[in-house]
Amino acid sequence: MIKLERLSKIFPEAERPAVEELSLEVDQGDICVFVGPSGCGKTTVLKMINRLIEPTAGNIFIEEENIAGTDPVLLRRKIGYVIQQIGLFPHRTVFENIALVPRLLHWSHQAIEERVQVLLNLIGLDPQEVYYKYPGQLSGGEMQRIGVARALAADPPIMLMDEPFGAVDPIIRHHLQEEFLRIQQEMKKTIIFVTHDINEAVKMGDRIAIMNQGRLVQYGEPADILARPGSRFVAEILGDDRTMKLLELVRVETLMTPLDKCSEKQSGGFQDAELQAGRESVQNGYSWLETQKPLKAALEIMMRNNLDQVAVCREDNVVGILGWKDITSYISNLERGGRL
Amino acid sequence: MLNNSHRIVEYSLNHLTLVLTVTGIALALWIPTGLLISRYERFSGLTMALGNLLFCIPSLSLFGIFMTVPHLGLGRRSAVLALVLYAMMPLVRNVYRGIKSVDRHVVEAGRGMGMSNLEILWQIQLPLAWPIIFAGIRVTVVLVTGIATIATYIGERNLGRLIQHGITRSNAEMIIAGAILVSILALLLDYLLGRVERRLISPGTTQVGVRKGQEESF
Amino acid sequence: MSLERLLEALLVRSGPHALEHLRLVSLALGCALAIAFPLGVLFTRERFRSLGLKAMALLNTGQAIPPLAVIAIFLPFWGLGFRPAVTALVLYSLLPIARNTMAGLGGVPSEVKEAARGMGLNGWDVFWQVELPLSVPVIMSGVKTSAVLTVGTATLAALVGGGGMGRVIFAGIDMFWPEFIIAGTMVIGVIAIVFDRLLSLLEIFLVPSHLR
Ligand SMILES: Nc1ncnc2c1ncn2[C@@H]1O[C@H](COP(=O)(O)OP(=O)(O)OP(=O)(O)O)[C@@H](O)[C@H]1O
Ligand SMILES: [Mg+2]
Repeated sequence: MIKLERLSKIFPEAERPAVEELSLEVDQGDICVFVGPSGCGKTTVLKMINRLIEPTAGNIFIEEENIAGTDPVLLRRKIGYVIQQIGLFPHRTVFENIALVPRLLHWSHQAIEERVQVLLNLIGLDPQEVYYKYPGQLSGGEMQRIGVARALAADPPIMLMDEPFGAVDPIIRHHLQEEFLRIQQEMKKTIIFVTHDINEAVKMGDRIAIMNQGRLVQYGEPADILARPGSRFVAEILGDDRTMKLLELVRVETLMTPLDKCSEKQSGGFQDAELQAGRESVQNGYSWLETQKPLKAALEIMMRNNLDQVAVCREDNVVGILGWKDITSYISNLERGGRL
Repeated sequence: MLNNSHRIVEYSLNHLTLVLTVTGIALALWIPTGLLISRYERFSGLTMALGNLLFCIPSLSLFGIFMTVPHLGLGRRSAVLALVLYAMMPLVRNVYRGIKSVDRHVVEAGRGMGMSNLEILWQIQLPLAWPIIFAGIRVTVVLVTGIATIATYIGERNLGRLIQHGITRSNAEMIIAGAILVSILALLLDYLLGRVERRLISPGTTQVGVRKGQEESF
Repeated sequence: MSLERLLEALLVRSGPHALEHLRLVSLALGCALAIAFPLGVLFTRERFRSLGLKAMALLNTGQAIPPLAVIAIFLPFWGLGFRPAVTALVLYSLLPIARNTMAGLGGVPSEVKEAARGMGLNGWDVFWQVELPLSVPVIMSGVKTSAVLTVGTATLAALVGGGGMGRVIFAGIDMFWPEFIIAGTMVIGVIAIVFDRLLSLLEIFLVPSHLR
C-alpha cells in the first residue's frame, strides 16, 4: 500500500508549487493512473515516491513505513521505475540493460538469463533478434518496451511507470495494455501509472487520479469519474464521449437480466424455445453477444439491427437478456448518484 | 648524423620517459579532479579558471620559474612539474565535459533503479564519457610531447636538443630531424592510445560502433 | 628574489620587447586570419568539401609538430631576424582559425541555408546574410584561442632573432634570475589580456547580440 499525505514540492525559484498538498492512497495490488495536462506534476509525484526528488512538505508511506527514513538506494531496488524519457544505457546491450537490477541484487547468471528471456517474450520482442543489440539500434517503441522489461526485471512489488507506452503505435499499445493487465492478474503489483491518454487511463486504472496544476482534482474508480466528473476541467479531460467510455467499461453480464428472472414480457421478443436452444438458433433469428463484452458492444448491435434488446450468451447458451432501457437507467442512476 | 645516432637514441628515450611520466602523473591527478568538480559543481568554475591560467602561461616561463626553485632546479623535476600543470586544462576540461555530456535521463534511470552513486559513476557515466575523456587524453599527450622539446633549455636532454643545436648552428637538417622525430613520437603515442580507446569504448556509444555492433549481431 | 631586479625587468627591460612582442603577434595573427579564413570558407563550399576534410586531417597531423621546431624552421634559410619569426608564427596560428572557420560554417544547419535559398537568395547572399553571421561566434573563438597560443609561443621568437618578451625570459633563464622570468610572464599575461579584450570588442561589434 502506498499512501501520500499532504505532499508538496516547490522547486527552487519556481513561481508556483509543482505539487501541492496532494493526498491519496493506493491499495495493494491496484493500478492507480495519474492523468493531467503537461506540467501538472505527475512525474514529480512519481519521483518523490522513489526519492529521486525530496518533497518540500508532506509524507509518503509504503507499507505503513515513512520512506523519508529509509535508505534511498535500497528503497529504489524494491520499486520498478519506467522513466518517461526511457533512459536506456546506450553502452549496454539489450540483455545487459534488462539484467541490470538482477545483477545489482547478485542473482545467479542462469536466473538472469531465464528472466530476460521471459521478459522479452512478454513485451513481444524476439529474444533472438534483440539480445545483443544496443539501444541505438532499436526503434523508439522497442526501446520503450525494453524500458518496461528492465523495470520489471527483479520483480519488484511496486512499479512506477511514467508514460510507459507513449512511443508505441496503437496496435502494439493495445497489445501491451492487454498483456500487462493479464500478467497483473497474477503479479498483483501495486502500480502507479502516468499517461496522457484518457482511454488508457480508463482501461488500465483501478483508480484514476486527475491532476491539474499540482493539485489532485479528482480521485476515484474510472466508472465513478466517468459518470460524475466533479468539475468542468475533469469533464473536459474525459472528453465529449464519456458516457460511451463508461459503456466500454461495464460488461454486459453485470446489467443483464438472468434468464430465470425474465418475465414473460421481457422475453417477449424471444420465443421460449429459441431462448433455450443453442447458439445457432439465436444467431439466425436474433442478435446475441457474450457475457464478457462491454455494454458498448451491446449498444452497437442494437443500433445496427434496430432492436431494443439482445440475448446474452455464455458458451453457446443464452443466459440472459439485456435491454436498451437497462442501459439508460443504469447511466442515469449513476449520474444521479453524483448529484446527491 | 650517423655518428650522432647513439645520441638520438638517448634523446628519444629521454623524451619518451618524460612524456610517459608526465602523462601518468597528469592522469592520476587530473582525471579525479575532473570527476570531483563534475560532482561538486561549485568548485568547477575556479578549477577551470586555474587550468586555463596555467595553460596560458608560456611553457618557457613555467620551465624557467620552476628551474629557479630550490629542490626542483635544472632538469627532470622542473620539466615534469611544468608539463603536468600544463596538462591540467585539457584533461580536467574534457573529463568534466564528458561526464556532463551524459544524458541526464540515463543517469536518472540508473538512480531510479537503485544504483549507488559509485555504481552510477563507474557503470554509466564513465563508460559513456570515455570518448570525450579519451579525446582529451590524446590531445594532451600530443601537446606534452611537443612542448617537452622546450625543456631542453632547462637541461632536459631530449629531442628538443636536436632542434636547439640546429638553431645555434643554423643547421636545417638537425631542426627538421628533430621536428620529424618528435612528430613521429607524438603520432605514435596517439595511434597507440587510439588502439586502447577502441578496446575500452563500448560499441553502443559511437555511431560507427553502432554500425559495427549491428554486423556482429546478425 | 629581489624587488629591485623585478622592477628593473619590468620597467627598464620589458618596454621595447613588449612592443616587439605586440608587433610579432598582431602581424602573425593578421596574416594567419587573412590566409586561414578564406581557406576555411573555400573548404566548406560544396565543391571543395572533400578537399577540406583532407586539409583538416593534414592540419591536425601538423599539430604533432613541436612549436619549437615550427619557430626554428625558417632560420636556416633566412637567417636570424623578424621575418622568419613572424612567418613561423603565422604557420603556428593557422590551425585554430582554419578549424573554427570550417566548424562554424559547417555547423550552420542545412535547412536554414535551404530556407534562405528557397526565399530567393543567391549563393553570395546566403553566405553573407546567413552563414557568416551564424558562424561568427565560433570563428571568433578560434581567433581568440589562436591569439592566446600565439602570444605564448612568440616568446620562442627570441631564439631566432625575432625579439619579443622571450628576450627577457631567456635572460632570466641564462642568469638564473626568477625575477626576469616572472616579470616577462606578467607582461606576456597583460599582452594576452589586451588581445583577448580587443577581440572581444570586435566580437561585440560583429556578432548580433541575440546570438551571443
Ligand atoms: N528539476 C526541476 N526543477 C525545476 N522545476 C521543475 C523540475 N522538474 C519539474 N519542474 C517543474 O515542475 C512542474 C511539473 O513537472 P512534471 O515533470 O512533474 O510535469 P508532468 O506532469 O510530468 O508533465 P509531462 O506530462 O509533460 O511529463 C513543471 O512546471 C516543471 O517545469
Ligand atoms: Mg512527466
